Amino acid sequence: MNRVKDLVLGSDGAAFDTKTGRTYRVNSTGQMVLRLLQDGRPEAEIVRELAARHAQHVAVVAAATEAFLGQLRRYLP
Amino acid sequence: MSAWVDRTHWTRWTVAVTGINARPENPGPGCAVARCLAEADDFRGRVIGLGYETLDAGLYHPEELDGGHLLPYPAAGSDALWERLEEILDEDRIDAVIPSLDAELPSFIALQPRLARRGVRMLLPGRPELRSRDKDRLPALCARAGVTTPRVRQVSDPRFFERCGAEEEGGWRYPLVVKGAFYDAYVVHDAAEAAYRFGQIARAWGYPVLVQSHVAGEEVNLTALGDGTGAMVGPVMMRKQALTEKGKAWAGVAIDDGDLVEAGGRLMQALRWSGPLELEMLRDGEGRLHLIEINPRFPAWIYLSHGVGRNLPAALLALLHGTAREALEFPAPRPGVTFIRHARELIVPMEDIVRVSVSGSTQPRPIPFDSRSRLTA
Repeated sequence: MNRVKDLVLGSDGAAFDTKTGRTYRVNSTGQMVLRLLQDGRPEAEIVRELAARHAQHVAVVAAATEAFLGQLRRYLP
Repeated sequence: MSAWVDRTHWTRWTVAVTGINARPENPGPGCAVARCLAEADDFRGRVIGLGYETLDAGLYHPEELDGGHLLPYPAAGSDALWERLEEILDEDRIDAVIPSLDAELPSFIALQPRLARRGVRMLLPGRPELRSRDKDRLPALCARAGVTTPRVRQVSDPRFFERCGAEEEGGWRYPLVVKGAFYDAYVVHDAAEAAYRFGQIARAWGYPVLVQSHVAGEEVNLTALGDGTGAMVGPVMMRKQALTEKGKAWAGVAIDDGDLVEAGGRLMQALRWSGPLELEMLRDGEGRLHLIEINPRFPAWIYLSHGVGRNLPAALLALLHGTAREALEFPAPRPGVTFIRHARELIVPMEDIVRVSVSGSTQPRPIPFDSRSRLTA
């Protein structure tokens, strides 16, 4: 997910893709995932952190995160 | 008594710009080039317009241009252009010309030595480099540069479109793009539509008419300068956000696309381009870039270069003056900066129109240096 580095994240939930000029709206959990990805954190670590922060089972968070990353791959080819 | 002014520095030059029509659906780049110069921090010179029609708006636009002159149409050839330019130079000083229309480039290239002898500078490619980026030669250029481009061929008979799917004709599949050598391109979905567009383009622009494979994707554009060494100077990139009926950008957003810069750099190296250019590329669904066209001039959206702090028309003058490209300072790209084009009316007194119709020139309006009303970016 090298392409996440091309995103500029705004405090208002906007994510601007500097490579394509497209703007997306991302909820706070999505923003957090994007920031962690931009910091270079691996997916497993992101899942653990989200599960701990939101008191959710790791398997639930892993499925949701995988779905989000799938969306990202589509939007950021 | 007036202060002494160094007219030899590019910031004091009189610069002539062509392509100053401003039809909303497909404006020439000239007025935008002039606006870049009018708003460049250091520029205190004059910008005059070289138009082709009495109603070219740039002839009457005092905020951006200091009047101008009519030229013979490009089809009249370089001798007719030279004759007219000599007349103009006898009455108006010109230090540099920025040609801004594809069709006039061959004549200006041919006249470059003669114009240089009269003190007129231009930053232009050579004739071979200009030919190398012709639409029918793009595949060969792209093979050298390692850039993807759709296949293209010349068509002289509209019946080609009925049989183009056959193996012996190359197995072309609709949709296709039918385009003129200089201007216009239409996506067509069947033989009848293709033949109609073929006729339309041939009538408007003559032959050859070209057919190109259609690539579905999003158009991204890059404009930059070349200094003849193969280097790419000051790239500015944009994605079109809103289009006119002619497919021209009505709004666009600055982007920072490393793949596009890399492709542009390879093309610039392969061409050893000198002067301004615009790359038109499509990014397909898998993220691959395909070169569609190289325009040998500034694009109509060049004012965005000023908007992102990379005023390329001013940089062109600096290069012409002898400034080394390494000495040109360009800030980091500013992705997200957006332009929105809008049309507005100029009110022109009848005597100005009559004067241009009769004499081919506007009223001489010498503008004292440093008195130009300036806008800031």
